[in-house]
Amino acid sequence: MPHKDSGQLAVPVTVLLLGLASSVTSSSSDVRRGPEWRQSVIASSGRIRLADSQSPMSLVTVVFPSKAQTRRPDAPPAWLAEAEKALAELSQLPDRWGGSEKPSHMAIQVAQALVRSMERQGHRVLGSAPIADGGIALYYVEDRERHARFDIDNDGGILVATRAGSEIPTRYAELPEVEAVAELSRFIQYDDDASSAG
Amino acid sequence: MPRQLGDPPFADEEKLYRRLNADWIDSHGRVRDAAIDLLGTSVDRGLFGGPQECLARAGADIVAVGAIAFGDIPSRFDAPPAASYESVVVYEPEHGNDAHSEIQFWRAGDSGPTKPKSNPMKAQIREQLAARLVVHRREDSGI
Repeated sequence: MPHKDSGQLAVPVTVLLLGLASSVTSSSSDVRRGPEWRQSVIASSGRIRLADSQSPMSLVTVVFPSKAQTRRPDAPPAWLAEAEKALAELSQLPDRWGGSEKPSHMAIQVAQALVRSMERQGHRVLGSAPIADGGIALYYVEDRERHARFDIDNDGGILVATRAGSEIPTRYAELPEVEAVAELSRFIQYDDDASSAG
Repeated sequence: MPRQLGDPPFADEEKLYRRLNADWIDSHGRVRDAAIDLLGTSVDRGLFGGPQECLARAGADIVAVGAIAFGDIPSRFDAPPAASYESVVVYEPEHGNDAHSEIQFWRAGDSGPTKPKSNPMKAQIREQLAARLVVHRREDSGI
C-alpha cells in the first residue's frame, strides 16, 4: 500500500501519467522532480498533484487509496460500533421524548447500513438524532457554513441534504442507498479537495 | 407572520419555547432540523414564563429550549412542485401545562394540519424553523 498514517509514503510510488514517469519517496508536501513538472504531495490523503510549470492550467491529481479505504475489513473502528449502538437505542426512546413518532425499526436498519457504507468510504458520522415526526438524521458536516446529512424516514426513504455555504440554498436529493452514499461522499470529498487546494 | 388560533392571542414579540434533548443541538450550539415536528411542533408560550420556567416543567432529558418570537415564525413555505404550506400557531393548553401550544403546518387551502409528503418540503420547513430557534440551556445542566 502506498500510504501510511505517519504522513509518509511507505514505499516508492511509481507514477505513470500522460507519458510522465516519476518516482516519489519523499514525505515533503511540495517537492520538485525536474525543471518542467512540479509535484505536490498531499501525503495525508494519498494524493499527488502534478503541474506543468510552463502551463499551470495542466494540474492533474492522482488519488491513491486513503487509510480508511485500505484498512482491513475485519478491523472496524471503535466509533462504528458505538454509532450503531446509539442508533439501536433510538428504538427505546421514552414515551414523552419530545417528538410525536419514534424512529421505526426500518429507519434504524437503514441508518446503520448508511453509517457502515460511509465508513467504508472513509467518512465518520458526527452525530445522529431522532427526527421529531419519525425517522433519523445522520450528520456528516456541521460547519458554520457547510452542512451535509442524511434524513431517513420511517419507511426507509433516504434524503441527502447538502449546503455548500451559508448563502447557498440547501440541495436535496431523494436517492437509493448506494447513490445516496456516493452523493454525500462526493460532497465531502469536494470540500476536502477545496480545503487542500486553499 | 403566521396565522394563529386560540385565546389569548399571541403578540408578535411573544416568545415560544421548543424543548430540546441533547441530540437536537449540534456542536456549534445550533438547533438541528430534526427537532422540528411536522405533525405539530410542541412549544410553550412565553406568556406563562421564560426559558428556565419552561425547562423546570420539563423532564431531565430536556437540556435546553429553542426560543422564537411568534412574529419570526415563517408564515409560508414553497418547494415547487409540491403544494405550498403555511404555519399556524395554535394555543392548546394541556393537563399540567397551561403554556402548551403547537406550531402546525397546513397545506395551502386546507382547514387543518397535514404532514407534507414531499421530502424537499419537509426539509425546508424543518431547516427554516430550526435556524430561527435560539438556544437557552438549562441553568443547572452544566453543558
